[in-house]
Amino acid sequence: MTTPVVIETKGLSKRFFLQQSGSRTLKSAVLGLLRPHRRREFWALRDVTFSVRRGETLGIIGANGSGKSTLLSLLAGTLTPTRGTVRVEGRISSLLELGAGFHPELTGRENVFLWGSIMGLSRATMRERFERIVEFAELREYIDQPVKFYSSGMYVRLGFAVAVEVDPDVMLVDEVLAVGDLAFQKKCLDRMAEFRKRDKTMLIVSHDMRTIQAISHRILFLDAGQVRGEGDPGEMVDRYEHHMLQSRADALRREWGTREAVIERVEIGPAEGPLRSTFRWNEPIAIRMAYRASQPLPRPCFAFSISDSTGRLIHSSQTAGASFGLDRLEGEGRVCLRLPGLPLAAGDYLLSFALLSADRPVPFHALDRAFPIRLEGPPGASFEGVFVPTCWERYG
Amino acid sequence: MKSVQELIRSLWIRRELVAILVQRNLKIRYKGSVLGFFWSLASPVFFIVIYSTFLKLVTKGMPLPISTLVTGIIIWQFLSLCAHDSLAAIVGNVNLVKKTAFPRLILPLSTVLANLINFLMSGLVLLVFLAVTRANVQLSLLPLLPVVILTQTALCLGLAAAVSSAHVFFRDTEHLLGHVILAWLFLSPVLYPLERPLGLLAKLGAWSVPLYFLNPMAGLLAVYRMILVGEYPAVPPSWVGLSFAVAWLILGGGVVLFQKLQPWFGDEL
Repeated sequence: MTTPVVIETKGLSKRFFLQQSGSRTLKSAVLGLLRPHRRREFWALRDVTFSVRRGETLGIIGANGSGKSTLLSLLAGTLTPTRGTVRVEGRISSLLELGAGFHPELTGRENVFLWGSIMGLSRATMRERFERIVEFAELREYIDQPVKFYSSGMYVRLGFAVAVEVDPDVMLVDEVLAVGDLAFQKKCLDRMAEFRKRDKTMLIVSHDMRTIQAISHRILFLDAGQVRGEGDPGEMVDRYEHHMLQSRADALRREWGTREAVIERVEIGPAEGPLRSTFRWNEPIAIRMAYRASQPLPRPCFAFSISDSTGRLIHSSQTAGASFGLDRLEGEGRVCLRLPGLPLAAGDYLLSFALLSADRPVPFHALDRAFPIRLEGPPGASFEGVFVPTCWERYG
Repeated sequence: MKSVQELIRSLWIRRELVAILVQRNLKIRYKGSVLGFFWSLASPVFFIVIYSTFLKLVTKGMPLPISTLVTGIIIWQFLSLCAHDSLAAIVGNVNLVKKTAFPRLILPLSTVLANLINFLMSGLVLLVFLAVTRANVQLSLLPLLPVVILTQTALCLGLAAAVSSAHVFFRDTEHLLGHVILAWLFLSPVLYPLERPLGLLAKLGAWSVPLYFLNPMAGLLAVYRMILVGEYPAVPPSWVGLSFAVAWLILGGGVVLFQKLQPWFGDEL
């Protein structure tokens, strides 16, 4: 695509000060002058640089608190960057939280015109579009009621209808598809697809990975306010899911041992090719492990176990190093564990590894539930737990 | 200068928004009241009745003719209401400020314009009152009235911009403001004739007399009263001019302060 760049940020950073409680008063300001203030700072975004071309749809993903909404607010102009620059060309319609900016005391109709006027559209233009908005939002009977009497679904529908119908050049959408019924979500997606066809630019924040992957041309992956990756939607979603898996697993992770020998590195991947943590049904998995022993240690053993995502043990086994010609540990070394495929239901699992000796009660080094993986189920079939071949037939 | 043009242009583009917000301000003010918008007509009537009754009772001989007094009070009300309402201009619109982008100056501007409309309604009542009491309205000077009103509106906007933005960062503004406005009222020739403070200052030295007109309300009230009740101030026009200049300077200062603080509203709210 070689359309012009319409959104560009360079080194975009945003710092917030966390306040203990309440807002600042004259007293605290005067005290602040007397002694250097100790407000805790927090960088919601750090050095974010990216650009979006006209007609592109950029998805933004990241865990809660990774800076997605701050980024959209900076683009919309409701926040000002602490450092760096942001440039957006054309009229922006922002759905930072649907229906925000609506005034509860005003009626639906009045709010539609309020929104239009915020966007800088004339009353005449809004009057022309009003019918379409009401129709899209399916709110004809309620349009003259104050919006404080609306259900959240009605709020969202009106918000989306207005935001789309003001015909912006750039649309910023934050978590819109999380609310509303399925039929309306479908309608929104259709409208967004149409919006894209007309060469308009969209930025979407969502936790719904399937949808965001389907509608984005590119995805920006934010983590703790920094760009973790940018590019192909499928790849970014994988990276994000692995990241989420990892951070969830971190809670169950336990590391212990005498440390006479340590597992220095564990790499999980397919039999060939780059490392990853999501595997297809029955796909062979290769786990390569590097260790280092501070002194020669006889009769080493390698332990391996699989737990489900809650930490419940599914499989555990120990193998003597002697069985594959490793009689003792000395200095650095590498071993590889090959699994021809795990007969387990689709889901997230945690792998554990330990390095121990048959002679000692305490392992040298154990990494319990430290390595998350995701398994996909067999295509076209589903089961729970462990795969068991089943064969049903009629008889008699 | 270029940025001033840009600011005015950005406000002009959103004139629909200004209109809607002004309407909303007026609507919310009288929401739930039976008389509704008629309060903007009824309030000055009450003022006139209350002040004329009680001042007669309390003081031997009024410090000011009733028409002069009521004129002053209605003019003062415009400033005082603008200042008080502007406290909520930003802080009371968190939703709009945090979630939508538009020139923030529109918020204090619409507060002031709503009050201006209110003031003009009161002005109609005042004119009727002045006509009934056969006050000495200077018909030939009436064309000057828009200039004076515009200048007071500028003063109010400067004040509203400063107050509304300061209140975002210092919530003490609310408490402070009441006292400042009250002090300002007593420093201005609203409830007493202009000659009294000028006389006091003259004792201090002739040089200090024009300084009284650094208070923009001094000159504004003088000119309003000149037009509406025919009291010509016994001071050189340049002193009154000083008041007018200060009013416009306050507009400039208030808007500059507002624009400096405006980018950080979202962080504080």
